[in-house]
Amino acid sequence: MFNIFYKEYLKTRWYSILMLIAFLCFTTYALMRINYILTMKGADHLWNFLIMKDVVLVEILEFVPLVGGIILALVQFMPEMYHKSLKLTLHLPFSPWKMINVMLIYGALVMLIVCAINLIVMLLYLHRILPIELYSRIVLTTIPWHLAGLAGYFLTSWICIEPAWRRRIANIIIASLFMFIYFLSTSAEAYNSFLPLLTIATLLTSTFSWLSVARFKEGKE
Amino acid sequence: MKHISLIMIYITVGLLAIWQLPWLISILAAQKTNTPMIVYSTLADKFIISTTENNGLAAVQKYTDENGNIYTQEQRDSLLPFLYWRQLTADGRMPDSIKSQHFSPTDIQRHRFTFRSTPATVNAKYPALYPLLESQSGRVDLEMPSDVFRVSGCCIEFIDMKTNKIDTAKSRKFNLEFEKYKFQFPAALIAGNPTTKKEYDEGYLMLDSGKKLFHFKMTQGSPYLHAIPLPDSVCPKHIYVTEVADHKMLALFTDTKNRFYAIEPVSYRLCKIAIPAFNPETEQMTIIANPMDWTIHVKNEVKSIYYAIKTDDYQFIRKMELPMSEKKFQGLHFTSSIDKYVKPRFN
Repeated sequence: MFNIFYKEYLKTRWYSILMLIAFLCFTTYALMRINYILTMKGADHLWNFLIMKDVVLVEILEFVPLVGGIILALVQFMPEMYHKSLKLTLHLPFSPWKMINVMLIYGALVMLIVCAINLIVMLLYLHRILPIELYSRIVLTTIPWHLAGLAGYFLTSWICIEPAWRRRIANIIIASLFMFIYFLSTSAEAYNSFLPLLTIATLLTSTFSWLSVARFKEGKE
Repeated sequence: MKHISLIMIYITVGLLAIWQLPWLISILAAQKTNTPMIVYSTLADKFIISTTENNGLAAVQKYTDENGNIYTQEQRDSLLPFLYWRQLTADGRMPDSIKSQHFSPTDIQRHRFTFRSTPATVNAKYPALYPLLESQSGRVDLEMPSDVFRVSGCCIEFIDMKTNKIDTAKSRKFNLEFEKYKFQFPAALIAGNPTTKKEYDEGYLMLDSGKKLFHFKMTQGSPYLHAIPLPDSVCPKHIYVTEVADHKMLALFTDTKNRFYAIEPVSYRLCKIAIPAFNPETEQMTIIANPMDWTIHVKNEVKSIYYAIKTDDYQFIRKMELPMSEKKFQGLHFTSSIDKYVKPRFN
């Protein structure tokens, strides 16, 4: 299992670092915008803006985790498909289901670590200048965006592993419609009551890849 | 594993279909609807209906009353002198008196107000931080304060926005007032208009956990807290601090039985408004008020109801009902017109 983890690490290490840097750049930019309002217009303007208006001022981060998750899946699974090494991997003396699960868990862990670092950086700055009512509102608003990153990773993996192009196009349509759910509202804390169910739904999208693996093993093209 | 995956994909496709198909049908079947403007006329004792109709080339205005009598634009203006007083004055047609009462333009302006409540704003979640304006600063213009307050489970706390620290001295001073009036923390409901875009400030209305209603504001840096007596059967659920120009009304509120009330300032007299029911969580309300009457429009998914109410004693004058023509397609929806939340709902 650790060998598989190591193999995945070797494939994605540079992209993972690049993704972390990109996430931190976007987060820093969003926080710099908040700092600019704080410096130029004062704390009262910033607080009143966040209290009265339905904004969180970090809206620039909305699609960053999604793009990061999609590219991570492409970096992880495209070489496997291109070099046809997934066939080899799935024929190792190891359950193919466990194999694909370990690969997906690896990718999910990378996403979780990068998103966690991103959120910690955001919290470290925001808790100094804002009360808990406001910084928790900002963080809670970004949670569906981060879940979208994870769903984007699982669904892109499903599409990449699928061996037949016709089915792959159908998968892209289903995945695109599913991803809409994460971006239906830009209102602050709009997803709060839906978050537990959305988290479960996000994790369940990881099971989609099992069908692609089964079809791959059956030699469907 | 393959079967589990297949079942999950089928469930997802099924859910996506019952979400997207009704939406697609509703988009294809959408028709333009012209919402008429309906206002009660004191002079005609009828509702006057202004509609915009498209005759293919241009939009045509049509003015009728509830009995179908057709009016010209000038006649409509004359029937609604409080609404179109500027046009009537410009034309030299403004009457000297309306129902034997004289109203100057200043009177009309002071006694007019519009009020609007939508389910989307009522059901929205805002941060539980409240700016408390100085209500007797001696200045004409209101100013936003440099701190905000929160009401926790045991006390009221003022947080200085510049330092993000609790102002202990001010918090202690205000807590003494709350203790004096035996306010039971935490607050069940806090309502106010923390904005400088109004003529004066009346602070907040607060319902404590013992279901007692209080008027809370800051006057010359000191707390002002006053209990508002309510009958045992009345428990406020949604409160709107109105701060109307003529100072004749402190707030409007609905109670847990969806009854609608007004509270007068100073005396804190409670007045029941003679409409049967209004649920702010599912219904939209618009009030167009003038010195003699209010036109209250309550709209829900099924019908649109217009009430005419006397300004002085909130007594019922007249009512008119219109059915809603919008078709709603059954299916899975994630968003709704009655709130800003995203969550699955089958309707």
